[in-house]
Amino acid sequence: MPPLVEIQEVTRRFGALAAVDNVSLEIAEGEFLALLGPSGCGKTTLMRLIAGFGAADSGRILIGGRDMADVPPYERPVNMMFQSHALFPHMSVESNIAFGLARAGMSKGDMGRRVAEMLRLVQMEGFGARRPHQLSGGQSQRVALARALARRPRLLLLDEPLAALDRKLREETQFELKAVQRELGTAFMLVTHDQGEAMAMAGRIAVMRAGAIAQTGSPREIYESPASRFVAEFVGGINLFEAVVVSFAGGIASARLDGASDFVFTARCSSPLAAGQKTALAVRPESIVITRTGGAPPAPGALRGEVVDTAFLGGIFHARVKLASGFVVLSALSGPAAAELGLTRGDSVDASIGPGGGRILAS
Amino acid sequence: MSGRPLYFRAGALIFGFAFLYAPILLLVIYSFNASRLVSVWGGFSTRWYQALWQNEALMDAASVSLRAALASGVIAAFLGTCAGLALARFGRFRGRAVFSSMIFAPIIAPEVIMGLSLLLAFVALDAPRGFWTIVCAHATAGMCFVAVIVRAKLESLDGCLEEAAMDLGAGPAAAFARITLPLAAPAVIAGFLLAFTLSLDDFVLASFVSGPGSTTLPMRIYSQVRLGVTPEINAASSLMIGFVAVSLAAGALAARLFRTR
Repeated sequence: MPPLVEIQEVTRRFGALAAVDNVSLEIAEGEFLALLGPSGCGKTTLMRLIAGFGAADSGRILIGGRDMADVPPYERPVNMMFQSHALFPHMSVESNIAFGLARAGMSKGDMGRRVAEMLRLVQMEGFGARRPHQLSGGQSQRVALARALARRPRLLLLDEPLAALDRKLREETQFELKAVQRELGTAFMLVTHDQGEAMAMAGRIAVMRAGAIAQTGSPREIYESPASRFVAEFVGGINLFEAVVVSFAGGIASARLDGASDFVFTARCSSPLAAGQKTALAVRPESIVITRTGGAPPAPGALRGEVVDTAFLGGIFHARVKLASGFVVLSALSGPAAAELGLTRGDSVDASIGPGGGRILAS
Repeated sequence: MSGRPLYFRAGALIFGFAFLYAPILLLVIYSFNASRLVSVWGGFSTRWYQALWQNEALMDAASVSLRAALASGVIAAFLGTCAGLALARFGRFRGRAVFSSMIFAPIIAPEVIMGLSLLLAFVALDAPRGFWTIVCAHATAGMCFVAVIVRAKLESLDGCLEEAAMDLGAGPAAAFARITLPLAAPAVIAGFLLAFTLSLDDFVLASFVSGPGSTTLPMRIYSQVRLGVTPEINAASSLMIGFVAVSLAAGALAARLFRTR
């Protein structure tokens, strides 16, 4: 099956700045894609190009195999949920949802049925007669979702849809959005700067940086095998050790850590590296294993350090360990493991990298 | 809330209102004076209002004023809305800064100068001075106020609303008619009422650009007062104050009824 949306080498410039810089991306029928990146990375611009607000300076956007270059926003088979929700303040909730249906020339009877169906979908039955200013943030978010989905678009664009909600509500809503997406089978493209949100909801994540796609992959791939220093730092917590490549062969690289001449680490690396090249070793906090020293010198592959700070975060326990080199490593331990170790500030410990836990980054 | 005692604040308020409204109140009271002498109270009477009804010159002037206010108000509302839209919506077009400060010029410029320049323009265009030159002058002055009010309203709205409408299948015309215009309506109505009131009140512009047979009520009152204040004039003025107050209140009410958030 051909992809629903094909973005082919699209560039969009604002003055000298390329907000979207030669981006190619595909969105499959029915998938949940998250476009993740820091603010100003061009993710919103790219989404607006898909919706038809603004034109690409070069490149093509195809939806359902059709070039969208001359198709205005009101004729595209996509709908958008705005960050501000953009509910029409002078219309009732019902009229808001029916607005797009009336533009499509739907009969009154069908319209009433569809509006009721959408209200049920977002669990807002009984709110049809309300005005937008009588709704809470969470309720207006639901109405905006219902309105955007009422026309049964092939692709729904969501621009930071949960930004206006408080944390608890945001987490609940994430699951609800996912459930709605599964139920309808509509492709969703979520634009967000919140990596937690992207990981929780999306089947596939495209990480964007400075107008370009830095990496695409499943949340697990992005998290476990970041392609670059930027992705590693942006998605989840990370320890980055400066290192120099010793050798590279068959996708396996060896690198020596800066400030620890005898510490050589070997790991998979997606792109070829040259010996002597500067690189970084990325280790997730939960892959840092901590053991008490017990007097003996550190085992091979372990670095000695001192606990400088601890934090109990409920299910997880964070320990910051200052190594001999001065580098501070963050380790995340599960609650029971931490309880067994009983770490406190000033303890002398050995830190090592758990099996399969490190990645040598190409850039 | 300030820590000042209540009687001080109440006193300041009463003094302020008295300063503003006592002369007007006096005028209204004397319009019900039975005596022909303006400064001597001779008991309550509505005879001057009845006399007013029979005073053709004043009634004609009132009719000219009302018709001019209505016509110029409608024109000002239309032109002012267009200008307000251009300033609020069309981004940074060429000459925007000049346009946006020029829209204030007629508000700031001395009325005498505006009246004179309009008169020169009408003479240059060889337009016969009369009812329509008054309408034209008042529409020019009024549209600035409408533009400023409409612009402020549009800028306070979420810019995504029109985009949302287009995203939901409305073309630019439908998005304007169904979203932008209804949301700007209270500002347009308030602007119209303000332009209407300004036209009704105006003396300076009208005296520059009016011609024979098109004397507005303020002009008529002024020319009669020069021959001496009569209780009839008090009555006419009181009616005018009432009219202006009612239309301003209507404007405030319209803004409240249409308030969306």
